[in-house]
Amino acid sequence: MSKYGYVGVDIPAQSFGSNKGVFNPAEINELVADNKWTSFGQLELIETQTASNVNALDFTSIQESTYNVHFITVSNFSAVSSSTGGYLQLLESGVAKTTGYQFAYQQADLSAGTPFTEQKSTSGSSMVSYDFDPVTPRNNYAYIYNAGDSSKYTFVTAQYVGINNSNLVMRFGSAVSPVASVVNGIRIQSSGANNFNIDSVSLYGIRYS
Amino acid sequence: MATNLEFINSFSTTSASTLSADNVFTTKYDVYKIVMTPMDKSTDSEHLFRFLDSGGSEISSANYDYASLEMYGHTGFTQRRTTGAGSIAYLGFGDRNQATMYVYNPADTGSYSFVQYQSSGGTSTLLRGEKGIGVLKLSALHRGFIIRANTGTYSDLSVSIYGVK
Repeated sequence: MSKYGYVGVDIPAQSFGSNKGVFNPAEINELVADNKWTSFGQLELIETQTASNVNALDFTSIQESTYNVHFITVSNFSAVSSSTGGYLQLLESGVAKTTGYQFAYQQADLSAGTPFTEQKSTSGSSMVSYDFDPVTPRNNYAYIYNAGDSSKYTFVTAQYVGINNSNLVMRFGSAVSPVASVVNGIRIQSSGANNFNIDSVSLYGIRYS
Repeated sequence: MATNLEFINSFSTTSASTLSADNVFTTKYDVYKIVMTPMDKSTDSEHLFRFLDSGGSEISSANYDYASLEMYGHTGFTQRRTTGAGSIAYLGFGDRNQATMYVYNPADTGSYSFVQYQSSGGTSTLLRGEKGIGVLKLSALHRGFIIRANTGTYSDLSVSIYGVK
């Protein structure tokens, strides 16, 4: 019986980037399942959600034991009818962490008298916050590091762009949850009682990171 | 087949002041993505980035320009910028760091090599984030890069390199 087209001894070991032999479909499927088949596309979609008139949206299956780095995109976060801001928070054992973050963001807000300001805190309520605004959209991406590592803090780098009072607003920077713990989910939360819509939120894992 | 992010190689160390990622940049891609995590080391100091030349040697000549904004959770932000430097300094600052970098044209012998990056790190009590840009003003093949601790030793450093298609 052959394996990878080889018979007998010296059947080559297989690994990503190094597949040797002649493969039948079953062997390819086996190697794919073991992450040993070379195929590209290492930005791996975990889940996409939309939000319609909700106060919070959760990702509860983030595969934190598989991916050391996650990437999330938020497209058109906007208030339903009354002004609201929003937060990106971490879930630990399924419970939202609402305090104890540190963050540091540079903001550019063309509607403000002082366009460039520093947004920082050592006792924040979120990793990323979205401006309080009537209904205009905000868009955001973030990298999340070490979510599944119980020995490390979870860090974020992020950037968002939106409209505030008809003018461009932007933030970039980073944040940390300075507690060594496992993060097993992500929440996007309204900053108050008013609900929000989001056209699309996609969570990815970066394989081999 | 459309493939977006294509894994090339990864490197790691648990006891060294430098980590070299050689033979990762070729003309196959114009744009590369480097994910660096963790970047844990023994001292609270800068994390530096340099390119490797076509022979795999570290380029430390004064041909780098960089500019970054260093952002803290507890105090006012700092601009880090210089021309004619021997490295792209302030990839991060701290005894721990996480960074994602895009590298443009490293193997194009007719172009400078550019980078843009963002990082988050600091110490056990202080957050330091960086958002920066840099360039090596040499039109040559740069086949890899090296991460260097300004002081101290890395206890856990891993980098993964991807081609962006």
